[in-house]
Amino acid sequence: MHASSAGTRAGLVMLIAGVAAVGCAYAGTVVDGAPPAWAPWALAGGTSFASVALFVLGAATRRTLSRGIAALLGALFVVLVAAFGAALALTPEIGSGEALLLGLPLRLSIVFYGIGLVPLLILPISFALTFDPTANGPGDAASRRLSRTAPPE
Amino acid sequence: MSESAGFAVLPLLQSAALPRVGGATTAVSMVAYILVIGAIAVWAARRTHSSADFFVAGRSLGTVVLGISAMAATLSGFAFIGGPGLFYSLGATALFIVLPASLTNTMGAWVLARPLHDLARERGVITIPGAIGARYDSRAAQGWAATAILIALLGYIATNFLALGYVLDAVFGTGLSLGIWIGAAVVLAYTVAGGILAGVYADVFQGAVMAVASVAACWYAMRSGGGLAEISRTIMGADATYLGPWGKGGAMTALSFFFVFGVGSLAQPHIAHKYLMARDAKQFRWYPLVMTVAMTLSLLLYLVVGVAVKALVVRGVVPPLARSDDAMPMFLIATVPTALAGIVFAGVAAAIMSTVNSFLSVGAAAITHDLPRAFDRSPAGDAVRGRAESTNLLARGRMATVLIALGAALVAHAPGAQVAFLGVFGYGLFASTLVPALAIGLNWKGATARGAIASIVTGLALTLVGESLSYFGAYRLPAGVPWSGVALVAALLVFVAAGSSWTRSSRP
Repeated sequence: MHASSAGTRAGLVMLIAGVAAVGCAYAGTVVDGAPPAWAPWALAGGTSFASVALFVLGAATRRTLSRGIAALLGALFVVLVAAFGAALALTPEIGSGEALLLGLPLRLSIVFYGIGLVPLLILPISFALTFDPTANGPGDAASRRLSRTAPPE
Repeated sequence: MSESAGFAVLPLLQSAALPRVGGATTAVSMVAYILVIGAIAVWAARRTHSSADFFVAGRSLGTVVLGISAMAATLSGFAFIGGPGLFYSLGATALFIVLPASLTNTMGAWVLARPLHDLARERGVITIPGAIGARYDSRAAQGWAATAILIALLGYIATNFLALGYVLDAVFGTGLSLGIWIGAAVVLAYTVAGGILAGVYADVFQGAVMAVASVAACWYAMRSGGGLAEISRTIMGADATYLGPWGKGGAMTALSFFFVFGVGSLAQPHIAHKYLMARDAKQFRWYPLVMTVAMTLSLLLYLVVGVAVKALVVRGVVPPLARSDDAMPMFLIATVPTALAGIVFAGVAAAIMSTVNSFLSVGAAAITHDLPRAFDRSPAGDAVRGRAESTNLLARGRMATVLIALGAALVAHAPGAQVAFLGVFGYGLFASTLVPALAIGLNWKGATARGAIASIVTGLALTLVGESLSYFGAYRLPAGVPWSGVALVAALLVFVAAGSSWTRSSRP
């Protein structure tokens, strides 16, 4: 199987798995009338999985799903799941006694700085460094096939 | 918004009057801002000669203009008024609306930019429904996508006109109705004259105003609160859940925000439309970084002002707010010089106008280009053919822009809650109807036209029915489950199921 096809298939499987997990979280909440204990975990994991899956699909289309990019996206998934997981798992300390990290309560700090700041510059710079303006994707294929019947403007 | 209230998006939309802010200085800042926009419109009008100029800026944009324009179109007035208000009332829950931006600025370029640019270059595609039509060789898919976009954007534009009316009323004392019509007239003037070409260059100016206003407001907010750590300690002493990891809305609401605003970001047609305007593919290399830097600066205000006002209320410096949307005006009145208040209000107007301009262009293209193509015999999503058709399309595009703006301005005069209800459809409807067919379909050869149409119809039906049931109180999903999230999940699964089993004949 071509690496790009394998990447697309992997991205689709991840996307379906992630979206299905989100769907299960919603279904469980609707059936019970309140979120079951596992629902936030399923929603956090599913959202993380679906988000990374979209990056995998895009990288496969651009023919840039190298081992380096795969490792980067794997790390992104770990960051998302670890930050969400820590926020769900850590026991809250009530009141003003909770420790601060960089000006915010610890659990919020993990989410904000972990998810909000870590990928903020790493992703766009990674995109720029792996960008290949000559790579072709399925859009090109569709265009070539159909352009025979429609002259450009 | 509590967990039991579900994923009500109504608080995201400005639907009530703002306190009167400023005086002569604020008014002068606003007038100066509008004059600059007018000058840009005149400049762009002289350069708009064809439908390609009007709808895709002549496919001439470079990296910086693309990035800043996309940022300005992404952030509506909500980022400056509703966002700080939501932060004031819900605490950290509001963070999860903007938190996905750390991923989505790159995700859009990563997933959509190149395939859309290829279609624009080789097929002459000028619209997002046109791209869907070309991808699947399906006029029906193009027509359904255009229909979904039109339904969603009418309410979206109306809510933004309403917010603009409130802003102009707060600054000039125009009254709401006159404020709506003046605001609509300004946006309409530069959109009709220069189309998206005026829009994107106005966006650059507007984006700069937004960033300056945001950074300055953030600095004053931090100073008034005694720094981030002091603000946190003050609030934690009074309300333990406010700065908990999920805020007062709870984990399900916060994570649903992240899901819908994260994955759904790929389906915002006014942003995706920008990818059709790039001069060449090389312009995308640093586009995500430009957009990320611009958006980070412009979101500082969103992140800080609401919590700073909360801390001031806890300390008794500021009285408790009657409405959460008063957070920003109260902050301006209590802590910043009037000159800065003028810049911030210009920033609010800039955010609203840049978003509306983009939506007007998308809507006009759907009416004049995509819906007619859905019913004629030409290949789906194909290019404008010849100078005569281009000139004709340009004239019809201007007329459609006027009609949409007038319709939205009239809708904006309905009671605030009804306007907000229409606006609720916007983001969720874009997400559930366009993410599968556009974002997945352009990256998966196995996707089919039937899958695209089935997913669009599924997203459209579930969002409209679900949000209507919720609005009229007939049925609300429990505990933070959003109809838009449910619709997005269903549409994605329908799309994949249909693409993998029904037919493979439309593989590119």
